Amino acid sequence: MKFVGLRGYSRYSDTKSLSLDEINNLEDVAVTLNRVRDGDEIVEVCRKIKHEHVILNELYAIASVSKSKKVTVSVGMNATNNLDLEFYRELGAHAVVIPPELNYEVESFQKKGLKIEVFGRAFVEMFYKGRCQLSAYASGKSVKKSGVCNMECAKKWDVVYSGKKICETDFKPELTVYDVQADYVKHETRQIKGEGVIENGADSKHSQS
Amino acid sequence: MELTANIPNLESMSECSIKPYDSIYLGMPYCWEYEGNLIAGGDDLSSAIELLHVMGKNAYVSTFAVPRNKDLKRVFRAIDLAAEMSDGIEANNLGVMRYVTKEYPDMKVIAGGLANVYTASTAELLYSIGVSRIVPAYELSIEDIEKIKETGVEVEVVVHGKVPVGIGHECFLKKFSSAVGKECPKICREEMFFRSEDLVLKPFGHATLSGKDICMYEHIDKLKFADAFRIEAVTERIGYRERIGRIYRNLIERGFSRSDFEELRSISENGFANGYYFNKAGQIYIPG
Repeated sequence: MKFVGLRGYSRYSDTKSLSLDEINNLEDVAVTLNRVRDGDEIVEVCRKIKHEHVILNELYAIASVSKSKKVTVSVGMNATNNLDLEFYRELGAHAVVIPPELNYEVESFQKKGLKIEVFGRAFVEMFYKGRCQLSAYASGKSVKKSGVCNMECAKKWDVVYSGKKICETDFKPELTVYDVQADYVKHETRQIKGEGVIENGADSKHSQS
Repeated sequence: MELTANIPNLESMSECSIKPYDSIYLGMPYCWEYEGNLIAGGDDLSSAIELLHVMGKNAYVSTFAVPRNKDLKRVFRAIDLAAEMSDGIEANNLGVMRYVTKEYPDMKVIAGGLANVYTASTAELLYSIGVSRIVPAYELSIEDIEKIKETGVEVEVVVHGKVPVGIGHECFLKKFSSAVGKECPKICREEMFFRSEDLVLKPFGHATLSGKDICMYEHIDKLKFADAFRIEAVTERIGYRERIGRIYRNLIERGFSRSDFEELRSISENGFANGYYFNKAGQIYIPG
């Protein structure tokens, strides 16, 4: 399965995402709306999307849209434990994305009917995906609100301890490939091309990745 | 107006440091290993709650901000005790929040600033399942926060202190322990900062905080619609909580004081910022 970002609603560049008409002309895609918008607005937009599978990042929208579509809870919601899964199950979600940092403990997640999606290939960042406000703090460009990241993490930083500089560092996102099994394995390609690819099962022969 | 602050361990609980506040959040939500962390187990949490009650203060208990499955036993232990003795439980994790509202429906549940509450619709949903107070996502403007308040839920805003700019999987202090020559938990006894040109960050446990102090002293009237003002002090040195709390208590009761404001400036090692309240970059300070 391929997923595509809806322009104005998906995180990361609007130049790579697609308009509603373009998306509705595609077949077999899941649509990502993972930028912060009020729940009612997301619900309204989801009504206009012909596809049955969306990836959402807002609690009210997850609960509401789940009544009519398959909803995957975006990695931006930062589900890190079974209580999170329990809550999203209660809201009616179809699947939950687990942060790539937790791939090594994916077997500890109790699915109970919920699908788990993991990153088989991900840019592991300074903070959990969806929990970073560094760009907004430094430059006012907000990933969560406007889908734009100024990549402050990649700068050179002086590490100062007890008033003295001890070294320099940076926190550039690292492309990491995992050997991990789950219901869905996503291969993050956002910085390489406009579409990401989800394969159904890590060992699928039909993988397009 | 309720004035609140947070305290990580019993050692930081001097009478002076608590006096200016109406309510105290107990525990260090960014790191289990922090020395004496009130929410990491042991008897200190019940002693701390008792102490606050003797002083006539509300005792709220924070929970670990990014709990993984292996952390849940410790989280449940703190919640069970908090439900029995305290006046409220703060959660930054949505699963933990829902667990508390289900298991302890009479408990005051507070969604912390790292719970990613960005919209009025999310606030409304949380309110409907029993969350009674929300600290909106730090990244929101005053207008966005007012919309959350309109849902009927109580709103608490940070008026002073360092707010998280991100939370992750690892502690960055530990990453530099060999360069520093100190291991966890001793390494966070002294302050570490990351500096790049005019940008300063303070790593602490799983969180990385704004190096500058968010300061709304000059703009406090713009936040008067809130139910509570928070001084973020959980990672601060001895004395910070007491001095900042006294100044904001004076502000609430007696109004603006130039000398108090100058004292605030002298306490802040990296300067002030307004955070995101004015829809600007978080590190900018707009004078009142």
